[in-house]
Amino acid sequence: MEKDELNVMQEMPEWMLQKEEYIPSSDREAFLTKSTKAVLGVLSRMKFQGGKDGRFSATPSFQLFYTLIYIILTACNQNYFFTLIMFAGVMVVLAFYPAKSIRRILAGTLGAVVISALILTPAMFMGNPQILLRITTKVYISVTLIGILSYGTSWNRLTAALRTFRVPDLLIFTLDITLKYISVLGGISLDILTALKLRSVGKNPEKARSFSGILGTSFLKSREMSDEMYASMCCRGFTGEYHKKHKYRFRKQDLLHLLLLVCCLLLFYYLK
Amino acid sequence: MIDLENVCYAYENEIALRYVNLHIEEGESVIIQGPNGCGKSTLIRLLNGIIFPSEGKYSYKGNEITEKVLKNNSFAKWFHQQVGYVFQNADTQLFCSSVEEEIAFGPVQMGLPQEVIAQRTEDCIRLFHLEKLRNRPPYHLSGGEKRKVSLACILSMNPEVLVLDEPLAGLDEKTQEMLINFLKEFHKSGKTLIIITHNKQLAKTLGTRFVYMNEEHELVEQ
Repeated sequence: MEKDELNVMQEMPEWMLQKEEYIPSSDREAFLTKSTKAVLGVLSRMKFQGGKDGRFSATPSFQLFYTLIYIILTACNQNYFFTLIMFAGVMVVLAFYPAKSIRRILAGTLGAVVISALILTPAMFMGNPQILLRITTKVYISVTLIGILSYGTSWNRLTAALRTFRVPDLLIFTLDITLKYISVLGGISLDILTALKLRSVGKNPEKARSFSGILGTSFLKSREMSDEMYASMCCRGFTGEYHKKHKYRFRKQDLLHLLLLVCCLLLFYYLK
Repeated sequence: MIDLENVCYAYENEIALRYVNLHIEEGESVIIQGPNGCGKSTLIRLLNGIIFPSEGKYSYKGNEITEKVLKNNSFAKWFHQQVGYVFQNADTQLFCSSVEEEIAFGPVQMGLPQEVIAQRTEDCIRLFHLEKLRNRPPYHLSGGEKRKVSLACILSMNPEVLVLDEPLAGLDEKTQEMLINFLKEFHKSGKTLIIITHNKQLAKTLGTRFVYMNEEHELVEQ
């Protein structure tokens, strides 16, 4: 049987031995394919865009803590002067980042600012133009602070920092795995899309069908990966509980950020 | 046929290819070897027009392959028909609902007459002994079967150049022998083969030329 198979293997069909005389017809790349590629590209790049910890970065738990405090102070303050100081502070911090990161952070901020400005436009015509300015500035500060936190801290350290706030380990683990697999699945789907593109050598009469094939395969792959991962966890003794040792350690860099935070709190009370 | 002149490529800040020069003539069987992470797969992706040189020039049959050129749909389709790429991971190459449909995908797109499509599909199914699997969804096949289907679906387009990334990885001995025999015959018919492999038997049996990528991401002729 084996010998027969190997013999049959050598009988190459005639067309395969000849050169292909192929002139492609015109067919545009579907909008659906283009948009999906863009979305999947973002997902697969997530792992590369995990922020880098800077030399003067505080401990991630502390970063998360002071970012939340700054956002709360910005939201609660009634004095526009304080908002302007926060605005200036955020701009100074942003200036320490490379141009590429600043562009990415501000791209995220821009959307939020435009939406809030649109929502608040009626206030301008109803005699409260200062509201528009105040709230959009606050939105700008809050979203930029989140952007700085995201680009200045790696994903895994940021999720690990949640432990300091007594978030259950299992929830953090699930969040970690979710983030990891969003990126992995994005990469897989992008590879399938590349394969589709490489084999799209003519007019594809059933673009939607090919597209659903990509989604279907990605779904099956995600199920398979989750089953495999669960099985491997069980094999390593997982019984539904997940514990990890964690300890907050104060670093030298934290002192600088702590001083800034105290100054900010004092300023908030002084200007109140 | 294939010309790489001082090609460099970098991922973000990580260099993957450093001043690579490679000239491949029609009918050659080039074996690319080298340690993990040296840039072999990057080179293959570049040869297939998935990524483009950061520096240097890549030409196929006298046409420079750039992102701009491949935006011309007709040229891109011609180029992808000419250069067939069998992925290392067959899972990501298969997206149709049955093996038969998967193999017919290329010929259908090329606008070949119905009887030619049927002929090519049947030939490829017979060639790789996929008769029993023709109506099965490719995703549910075993690793070796997926590999055969992924090769069959590229061959049904009858490419001039066949690029394979670790074609024998994860296959049993019998299937390995079958694939080696097939690739030998394919090469004999005058087609060009570019293969990344760590398998010594495959390299010895098929290679007419050997190139090595070192840890410095440079290509060295052997």
